[in-house]
Amino acid sequence: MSKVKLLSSDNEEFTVDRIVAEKSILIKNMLEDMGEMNVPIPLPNVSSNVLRKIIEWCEHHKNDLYTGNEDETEIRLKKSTDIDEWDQKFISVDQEMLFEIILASNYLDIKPLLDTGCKTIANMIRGKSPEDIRKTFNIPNDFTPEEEEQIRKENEWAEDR
Amino acid sequence: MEGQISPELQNALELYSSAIKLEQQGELSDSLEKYRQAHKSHEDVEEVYRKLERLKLAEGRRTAFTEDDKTKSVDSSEVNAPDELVTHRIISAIEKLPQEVLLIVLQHCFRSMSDVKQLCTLSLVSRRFASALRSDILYQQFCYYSVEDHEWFEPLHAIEQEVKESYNNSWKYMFRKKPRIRYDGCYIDRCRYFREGTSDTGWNQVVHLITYYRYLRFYPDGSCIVYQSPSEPKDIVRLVNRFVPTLFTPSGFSSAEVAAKVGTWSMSPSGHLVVSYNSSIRYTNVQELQVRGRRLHWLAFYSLHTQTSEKIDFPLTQNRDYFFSKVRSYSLTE
Repeated sequence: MSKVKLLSSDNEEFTVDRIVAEKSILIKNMLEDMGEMNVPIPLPNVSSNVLRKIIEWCEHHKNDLYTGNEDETEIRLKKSTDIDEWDQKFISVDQEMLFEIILASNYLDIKPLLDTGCKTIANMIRGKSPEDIRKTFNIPNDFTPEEEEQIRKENEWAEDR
Repeated sequence: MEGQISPELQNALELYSSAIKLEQQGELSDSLEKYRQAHKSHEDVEEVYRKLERLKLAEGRRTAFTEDDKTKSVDSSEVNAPDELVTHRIISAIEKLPQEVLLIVLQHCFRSMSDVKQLCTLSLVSRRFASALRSDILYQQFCYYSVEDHEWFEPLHAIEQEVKESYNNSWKYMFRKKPRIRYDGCYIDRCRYFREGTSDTGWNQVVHLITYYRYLRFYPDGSCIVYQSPSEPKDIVRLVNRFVPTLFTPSGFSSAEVAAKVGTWSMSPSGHLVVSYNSSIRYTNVQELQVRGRRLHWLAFYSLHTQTSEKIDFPLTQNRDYFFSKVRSYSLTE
């Protein structure tokens, strides 16, 4: 099986099976365009500790079927299923790492991992008050009282749902 | 270095550093005032200040190097670390996500129609949240929930066509404006009429104001319950249910109490609603209504003979619009 070399932003080299690396659509397209590459692929946006995590995920999911061109509507209409057990364990990391994984999977174009990360954040948001959400994620409240009033009015209609 | 700095920036930097000192001393309101002045005097003061501090640190490291070669172990990452820590604490990680990723997070926050009520809560988190939550792609998701829940009684492809043709390609506009039927509550029409009464003395005229209610509850399979009762909604709505048999048998206690009927309903894409139910063996009653948001506006009310198609119109004078009200138990049961 052919191997691919990846180079993290802090210059650590990783050698992985091509099928594992191709979970990233970015790398897959790159390999298709360039053919066999002997030099490592530089990933200037991903540090070695994040890349190690991402490779772990790709190894585990290397045999999953994912065509990448599923009908968008189909995807959205599918009930957002819960995160499976292995992924749940995998994504149980501190908030900083969680966001790093999300940013890296967005950059590397690994949709299922991006979704898992975003779902995890969504679970931390759902059912909380604005104040609690701000506390959880360290978000400053940048509204004036007038603006808050405005937002309340704007969304009044949704209250009876 | 100094030569490149404008007088305003120099002034701003001085204010900024005194603000930091005041903050460290616990003089928060004075410190805040200084920060404000500094920002007013030059908007990039914070960034420039940090850069200068970093340069100073690097400078210090270089002199330390020449002084004592054994302090080499200080590596560059340690010099940058305090600065990164500062920015990290100031800008929250979630606010740093690109807009399209924040949107994926928010999409996952709305798992079904009942999550739509979170819109206000989530919008109140920050400006960035509020602006992301106005995105049409979220409303597209909500529209799909309307389709899934049969609120529009049309298949998905028809809806996708309609948003282009009738709603300016705006899912938000469609979600807010397209007439729908809701199943998580009851439509109630409060009907009133006056009846002349008899007076004991003959000196004054007695007029009774009679109030009764028409109830409509819809089901997504195209059936509905039509019920009429003098009882107040609060006593009745929970009972308006397919599985309450007593509702469909005349009680006999009160003449105004009419047994509920199971009917059928259909609605056009523009919200023309037709409800029909058997009133007797030979007659079918038809209520034609126009959906206007949460209201059902009366268009016609008549009785049709099942064989001859003879039509008898009922006057609409007693009827006002039906109003939707949400009934919590409806979404919990069945």
